[in-house]
Amino acid sequence: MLLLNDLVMIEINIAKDFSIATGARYYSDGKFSGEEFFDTTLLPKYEEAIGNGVKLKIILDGTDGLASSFLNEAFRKLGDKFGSESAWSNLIFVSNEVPGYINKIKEALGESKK
Amino acid sequence: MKAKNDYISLSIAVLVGSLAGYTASQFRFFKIDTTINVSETIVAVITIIIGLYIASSLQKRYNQNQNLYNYLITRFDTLWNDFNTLNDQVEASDKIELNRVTKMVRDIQRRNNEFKKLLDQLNSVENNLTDLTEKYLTLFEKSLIKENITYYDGNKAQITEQGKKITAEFVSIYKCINDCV
Repeated sequence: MLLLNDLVMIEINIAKDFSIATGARYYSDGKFSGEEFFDTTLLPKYEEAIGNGVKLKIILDGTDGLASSFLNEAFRKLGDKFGSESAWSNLIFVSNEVPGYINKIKEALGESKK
Repeated sequence: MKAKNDYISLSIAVLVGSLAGYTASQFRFFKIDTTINVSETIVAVITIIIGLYIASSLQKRYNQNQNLYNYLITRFDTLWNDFNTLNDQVEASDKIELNRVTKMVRDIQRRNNEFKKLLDQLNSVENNLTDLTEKYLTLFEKSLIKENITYYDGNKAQITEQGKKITAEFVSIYKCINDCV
């Protein structure tokens, strides 16, 4: 049976909520890095989703492409903070343009310390 | 020598012309048989219908293949040209906005997914464009990055080599489209 919580999700559209032209890994690499995405967008939204007991939907389409280092840094940090399995189970991805991004995120979570 | 050749040619032309004229004047050879053989007529009509059906089927199949070919080749050409433009700049310089590379790689991977699905239907070989472009992008990301500009001078030899591999893969896919469709 579907519950209301299963239907209502918190959402991040990277292109709209962060930037179309995302950067690389660290703040020192330039604007819109993976670190910046984690601190300003991913972490607050993830905590909001967890707080509300819903999943976090992340739309990866619509950007000018995502660097591996960007995805790796943002989601590895999420895995470090919340545990890779827990983080993975609370995320839903939309990546019609390049489905391979989802594999990269999965790998990044796998690299996390928890 | 030339005059002798002209003489031979002229003699042959006269002989052939005379023979054709004589044959044509024997109009009794053109007698038409006015009786109709029913069984032969039916066989002839059936043969014509089968012939038309085969011709129509072949034409239809040719048109379908031609449409698929045009669709694939147009999209493929655009992709290849875009990559060449980027790769030419990469070879000429030692720095580029990282965003340009990620965008190019995204475009290649997105369209290559379509190609793969279509070419798989045609029993073609697998292509490695996605993996190759992924490694290409990684080489830029491993270089020094400041203000989202990647300074890849230290990795230039590897990047150039990877660019050649991608070009070779494009050639392979191009051949595949031509052979399969």
